[in-house]
Amino acid sequence: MQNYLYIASYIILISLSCNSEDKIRTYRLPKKLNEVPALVEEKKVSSKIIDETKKFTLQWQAPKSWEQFDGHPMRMASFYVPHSVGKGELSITEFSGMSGGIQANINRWRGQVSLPPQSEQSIIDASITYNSDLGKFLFFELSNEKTNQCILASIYELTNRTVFVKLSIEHSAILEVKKDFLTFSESISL
Amino acid sequence: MIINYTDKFLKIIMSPKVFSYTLIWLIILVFFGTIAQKDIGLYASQMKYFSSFYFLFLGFIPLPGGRLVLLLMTVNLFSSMFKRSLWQLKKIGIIIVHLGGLLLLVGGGLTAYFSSEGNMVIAEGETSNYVDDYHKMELAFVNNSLKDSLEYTVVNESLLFEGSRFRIFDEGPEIYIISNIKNVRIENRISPADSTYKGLLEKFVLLPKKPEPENTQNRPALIYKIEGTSNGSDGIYGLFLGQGLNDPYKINDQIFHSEYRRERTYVPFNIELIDFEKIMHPGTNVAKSFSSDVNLVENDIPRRTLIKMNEPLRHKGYTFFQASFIDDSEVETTVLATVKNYGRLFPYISSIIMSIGLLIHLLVMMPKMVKRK
Repeated sequence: MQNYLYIASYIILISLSCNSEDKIRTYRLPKKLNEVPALVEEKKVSSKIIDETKKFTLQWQAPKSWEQFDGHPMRMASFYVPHSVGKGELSITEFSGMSGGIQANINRWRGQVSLPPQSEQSIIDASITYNSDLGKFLFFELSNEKTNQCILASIYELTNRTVFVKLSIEHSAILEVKKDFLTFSESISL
Repeated sequence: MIINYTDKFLKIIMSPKVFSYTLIWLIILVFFGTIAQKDIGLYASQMKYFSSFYFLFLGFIPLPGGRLVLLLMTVNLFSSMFKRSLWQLKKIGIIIVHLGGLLLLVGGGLTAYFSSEGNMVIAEGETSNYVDDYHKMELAFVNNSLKDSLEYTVVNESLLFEGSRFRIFDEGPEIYIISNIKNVRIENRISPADSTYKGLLEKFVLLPKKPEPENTQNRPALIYKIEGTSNGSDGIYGLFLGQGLNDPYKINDQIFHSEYRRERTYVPFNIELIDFEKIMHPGTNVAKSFSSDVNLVENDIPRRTLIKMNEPLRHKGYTFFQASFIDDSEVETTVLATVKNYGRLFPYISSIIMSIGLLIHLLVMMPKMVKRK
């Protein structure tokens, strides 16, 4: 009887030393705005589902030196961006759907600064991805030193619309305004 | 007959010789484990010699590892407590020493199986409630289609070996692990990828490179196949630690992405970093001291605390040590080494018990020793 007691004790001891942690577990966490990952298939940027029943509005934090003005009615907002030798013009626009796609828009803007069009792959390769409260966005720097023209642009591809932030400025002013432009782009939220 | 065999077995297992031999083997393991750190690194050496049940000497001779030896030692010490000859008043000191030793081993077992340690990384102004393990990895399948939440289905490292097959849902697609790379080299594809390769692997290849001795300097990666989505998402995907963009795919009409990351342990409270401060040695880039001013937020009630070097924050069994920092030009980030160890107090308690036992034994034996003189 005592022997069985010993053996039972050993079995309990060895069983306790076995690892029984779960190999697959599931849990849910609340969504954060900047945590929303890629939602559009075959797209290079992350997107965000927008409630179409509500009016689409955006919020942002513009640098104090920027001056808001009433621009084109198609725009959500327009700003003058001053720098040491003049001022650039920034616009925020939004369109439903893909609005022609990244390639078409970027090549149109490249034409505006006298640059030749590029393939979609080259355009995507030259872009930089950043995070904002609205999700991930692609940043483009389309610069032409010869003509002293430049466009800085941020494109946010949401599931059912696209937001464009575009700054037209002299090439020589890029260094002065680029950081502010990126900070502004990162601040955009619903 | 059976009783005879069990008698013999019990006699062997409770023999003090077993304790002596296991103790000698432990000394040998410590010696070789310490030397091996130079070549294979601290973590690999710890895993091979101390956290294993057996290891292969010269690649083919199996020898007992630290866990098996300590288990044997525990069983031996536990068995010795059943010896009738031990239970005498004059041996009370020895009984107490045995109990102390057993407690020490039980504490070691608890630490080995239930303790967790890792890093909590928080940028100034941000809040965190999870700890990244130093070494263990996990594969997370994240469902993005829910309205207010993200649903994580997380696969433990023990299932992520080459050739492993598993399902994350009962009716879901099958996941097949093609390759688990300890340290990855990422290179551009020379020729266009086959259509079975998706996302990252369309443009890049993940190649193994020689692992660094220090495990934390490696960048692990995983190549896996998803089969049976029936919506065109089937294919081979690649992930590596710290990957910025994730590749989306569909399972049961819901949009998922995967993350290959350090194993996460969620803590039942939040820590918000208010301010990180570092003081440098004059004229150098070497930190003299650094501290984190944090808010420990539990049930929406914040408690402000300062975590400094050698002054950790202890809360609900977790200890947060000021370990390091990440110096970013825009925002400072603190790195808190986080430990949860259920067996933390066992070495102290067992040492006290063993000391008391030895003292009592000395006192009991004193008259006999004086008489002999």
